[in-house]
Amino acid sequence: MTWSDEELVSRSIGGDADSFNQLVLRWERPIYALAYRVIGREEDARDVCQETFLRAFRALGGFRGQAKFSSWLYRIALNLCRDWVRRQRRTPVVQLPEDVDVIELAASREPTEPIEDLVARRDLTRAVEKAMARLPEEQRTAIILKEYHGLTFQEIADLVGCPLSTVKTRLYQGLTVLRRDLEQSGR
Amino acid sequence: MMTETLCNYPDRDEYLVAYLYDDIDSAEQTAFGSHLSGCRHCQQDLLALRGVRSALSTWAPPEPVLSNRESRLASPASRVPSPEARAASREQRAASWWREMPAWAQVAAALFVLGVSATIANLDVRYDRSGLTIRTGWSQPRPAAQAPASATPWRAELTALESELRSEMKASQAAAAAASAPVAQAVMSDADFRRRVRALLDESEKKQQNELALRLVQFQTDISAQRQADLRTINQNLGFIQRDTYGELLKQREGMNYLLKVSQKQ
Repeated sequence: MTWSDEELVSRSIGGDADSFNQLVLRWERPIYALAYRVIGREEDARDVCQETFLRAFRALGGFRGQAKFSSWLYRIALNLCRDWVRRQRRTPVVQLPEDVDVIELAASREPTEPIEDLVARRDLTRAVEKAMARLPEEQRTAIILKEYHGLTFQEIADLVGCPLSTVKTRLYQGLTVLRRDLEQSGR
Repeated sequence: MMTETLCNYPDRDEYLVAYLYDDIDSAEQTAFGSHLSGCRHCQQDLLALRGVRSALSTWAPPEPVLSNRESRLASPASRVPSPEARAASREQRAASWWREMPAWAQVAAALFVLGVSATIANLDVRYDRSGLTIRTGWSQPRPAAQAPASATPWRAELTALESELRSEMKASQAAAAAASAPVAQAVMSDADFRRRVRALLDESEKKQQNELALRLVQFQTDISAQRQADLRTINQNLGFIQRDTYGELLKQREGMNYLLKVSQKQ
């Protein structure tokens, strides 16, 4: 039987440790992906992910269910990311994964995809990463939450604590800057 | 009629982005949709932003390393500070420290331990006609010149003390072995060591393959770029030749025309 997030939270509060583990399994990857895209560093993203669940576990008793569990988790993760960015006091630099395996990458491509297309796709990914890293934090966060996590504008507004129209404006401005950056880099 | 200049639709950017993500209520969607059909500026903007979204879709985070998955999943409960948890964490850290140690350091550590053990045990290694002989100081027979143990009273006491110490050491070793049975599993056996060496070799081989693949890709890219450049140069040269030839033809034609005109006048 598949429990909803809120049911698993209730069971966890009741002392069922396995329920919390299920929540971790369910949300570990999205939270890690969020942290990685905001921070841009694999190892730090893992730390933020782990810390998010640790804080969630400690504060589980205070979760009253006013918001969705995922929104609550996203808020914790975003706060940790913000703390990280402030601590580092530098623009997040997206780091390419060290273990990029060209052979695996080549194996994963479509059989008909020429090597030039493969290289072009990788170049495009790099260009996107760099352009995203140059965006202001608010715009980057809005794009990440909307584009990769499918949150509604209202959910993003609630998460980051700003008006709905501000979220839309940030998103439009961010996408416009990305468009210009990508055009300049010939994409 | 298409609007050519900048769009004046109220809150146009917000509606455009809402329309782009289909996060807009149906009335607003209809209204903006009808505006869109007549506004070229908004159409172009929407198309470009769809392109940006398409580019964004190529960006995937690297796969998280899940080697410590079990410990991480267990961690929220187990990491609430408690003496047991702290002890477990220390053990885990120690074990991971050993596992993460480079192979050369492990070999050096093993040699160091062997050296110290040999020194303590007074190891005597000989290779002579009778073959290889390894004896520890404790197992070494006493020199014949030594006086019998009973000859001096302090020697008997010393022997008694030695046997007492030996029995204590044996007892403590047995206790330690019994207590640290799980820890013993962490000590690297020959099979583990072979596996580790094999893993290191595999890793090295994989790196070399990656390097080779990268070089091949780079090589192919360079070749392709060079080919494009050569084609461009050839096209340019052909263009020059064609232009020159055409120029010559024109000149000849003009000359012929002139000659014809002159001959007709005459």
